[in-house]
Amino acid sequence: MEINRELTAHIAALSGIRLAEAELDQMTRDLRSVIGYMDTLEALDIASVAPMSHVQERVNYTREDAVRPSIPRGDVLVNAARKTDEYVVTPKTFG
Amino acid sequence: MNKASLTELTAFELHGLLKNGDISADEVSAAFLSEIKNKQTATNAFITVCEGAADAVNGTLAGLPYAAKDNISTKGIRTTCASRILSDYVPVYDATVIENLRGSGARLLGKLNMDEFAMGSTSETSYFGAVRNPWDVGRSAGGSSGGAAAAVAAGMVPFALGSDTGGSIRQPSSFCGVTGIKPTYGAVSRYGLIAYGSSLDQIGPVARDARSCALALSAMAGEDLRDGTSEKCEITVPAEGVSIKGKRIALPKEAFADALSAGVRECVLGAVKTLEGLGAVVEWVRLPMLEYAVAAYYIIASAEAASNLSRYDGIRYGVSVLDKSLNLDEVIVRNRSEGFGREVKRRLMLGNFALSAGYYDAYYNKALRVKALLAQDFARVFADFDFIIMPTAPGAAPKLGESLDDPLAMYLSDAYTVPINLAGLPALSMPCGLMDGMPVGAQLIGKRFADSDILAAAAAYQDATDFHMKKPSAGATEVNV
Repeated sequence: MEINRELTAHIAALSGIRLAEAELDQMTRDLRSVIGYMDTLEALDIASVAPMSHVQERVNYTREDAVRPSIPRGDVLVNAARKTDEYVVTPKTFG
Repeated sequence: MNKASLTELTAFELHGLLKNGDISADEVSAAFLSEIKNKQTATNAFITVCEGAADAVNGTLAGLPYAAKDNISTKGIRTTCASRILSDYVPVYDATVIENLRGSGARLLGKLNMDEFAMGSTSETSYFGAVRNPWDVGRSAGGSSGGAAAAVAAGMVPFALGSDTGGSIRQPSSFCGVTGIKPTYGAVSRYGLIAYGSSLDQIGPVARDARSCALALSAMAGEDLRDGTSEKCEITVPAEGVSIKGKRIALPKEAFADALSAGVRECVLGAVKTLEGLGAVVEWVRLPMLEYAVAAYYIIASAEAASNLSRYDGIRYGVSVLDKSLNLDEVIVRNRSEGFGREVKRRLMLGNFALSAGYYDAYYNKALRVKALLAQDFARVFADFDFIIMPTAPGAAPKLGESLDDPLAMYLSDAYTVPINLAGLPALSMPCGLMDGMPVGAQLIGKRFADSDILAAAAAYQDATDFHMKKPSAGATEVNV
C-alpha cells in the first residue's frame, strides 16, 4: 500500500486534524511504517471466515424502558466553553 | 503501628486490620497520603490528589484507600485522560466502578497519570509528563496505566484502578513488579470509562498480590444496566491454602520465539516450573494466529478510537479556542489539532484510514476475520486446558525516551497482551523475577468468566514465592528529578 503526503493529508482532513508541513512528513513516514506492517495480513487467505465484531453473543440486548431522571441541564452545561443559561453556544455554522 | 509499615501492607492485609478495628480508616488514608506527597515528585504517578475525600461508609472495603486512572469519570473531580483537550474537564457523573467502590466504603485518594487517552505503552504520551518507574526513575513505568502500577509499587496506594484495551493494566504491572488483572470483557461495567476501543476496553485492579486484586474486583464486577455489554460476574477471593493441583496449563510455543528476551524467558519458565512443583500439569501448545494479533489489534483499536474520539470538538466540553471570527469547522479542527498529542493523532489517522472508502475490506474487515480465527485458536486450547501462561511483555521496562520515535516497535512490544483483548479473555500479570534489577511479569490467561480461577492460581503461586513482595529500594524514589 503506497502511503504518500496526499493520502496523509486526506486522512488528516477525515480525522478533523490539521497538520503542519513538518508534521505531515513525519506522519506520512509513521503511517507508511505501521500500515506496511499491517499489510502482513495480506498473506492470509481468510475471505471465507466471517468477521467477528464482538466476542459476546448478545443480540439487541435492551434494558427495561423505565422513566428515570437524566443529568440536570445546568450540570450538562457546566463544561461548555460558551453557553447561555439554557443552551450551549456554538460558533457560527454559516458564512 | 507506624505509618511506614502501614503502606507496606497489601490491600488484603489492610482490609483484615480495618475489619477487625485494629487500625482506623483515617490512619490508613493519612499514611498513604503522606506517601503520595513523598513520592509524587519522583514518580509523577498522580495527576490529581484528593486530600481528605473521606466517605464514612461501611462496606466490604470500608476504609481502604485507592486511586483511579484518569480516564475513569469522577463526579466533581477533574478527569483529564492525560490530554490537553480534557485538561479542565470535570465530569458531572461517576463511573459505575467509582460508585460501586464508594458503596463498598473504599476511599478515593486521587487520579492517576497515564498515556494520553490510554494510547501508548510507556505513559510518556501524557500531557502532564511521563510517569517514572519507582524501581528506576530513569525508566518507564509502562503504559498506559503507568500511574496505577507505579503508585502501587511505590506504596502510594494499596490498590489502583487501571484500564486495559491491549495490555494497559498487565504490561505496567509487569514493569513495576505488581499484580494486575484485565477482567473478562463484560465482567466490569464500562459506564463512565472514557472510551478508547469499546469492544476491547475493560477496567481492572492493580495491587501487590492476587488476593488484593480479587478483593477490589469483587466490589467492582457485575452487571450494570448502563452498560449493555456488562454481565453477571461473581468474584471469589482466593482462600488460604488454595491449590492448583491437577490444573492443566498450556504454554504456547509462539510466545517463546526469538523476539523474547532471554531474561524474561528464564523468569517465566521459572514460574512454570514452580507451578509444576505445585501440582499443575504443563504442556506445550500451538497458537498459530498469535503472530497476526498486533496487526489486527492496531487496525481494530484505532478504528474504534477514530469513531469514539470524534466526539471531541471543544464545544460541549474540553479546551476550546474562543475566537468569534472562526466558523464551526475551523473551531473544531483547531481544537482537535491543538488538543490532541502526536500519538493520539497517529491512531485517529490509522483508524480513519482503515475505515475509509477503498480500504475498509482490506484492513478493518480483514482484522475482524483474524479476530475470529484468534478466538477459535484460544477456544481450541481451552477445550483441553484450564490456563495459558506466557510472558506479559518481551522485555523489562525501557529507558524513558527510548520508545517514542518508533511507533511500530512500540506496537510490536504489545504482542503478548493484545491477543487477549481481541478474544475477550481474562488475564493477570504477576511478578515472577528480576532481570538486571527490573521486575518481570508472567501472564496467566483463563477462559471467559474464569477470572476467579486465574486469581486463585496466581494466589497459589504467590503463596509459594515472594516475587510480588519485592519492593524498589527506598532511595530510588528519593532521587531529585
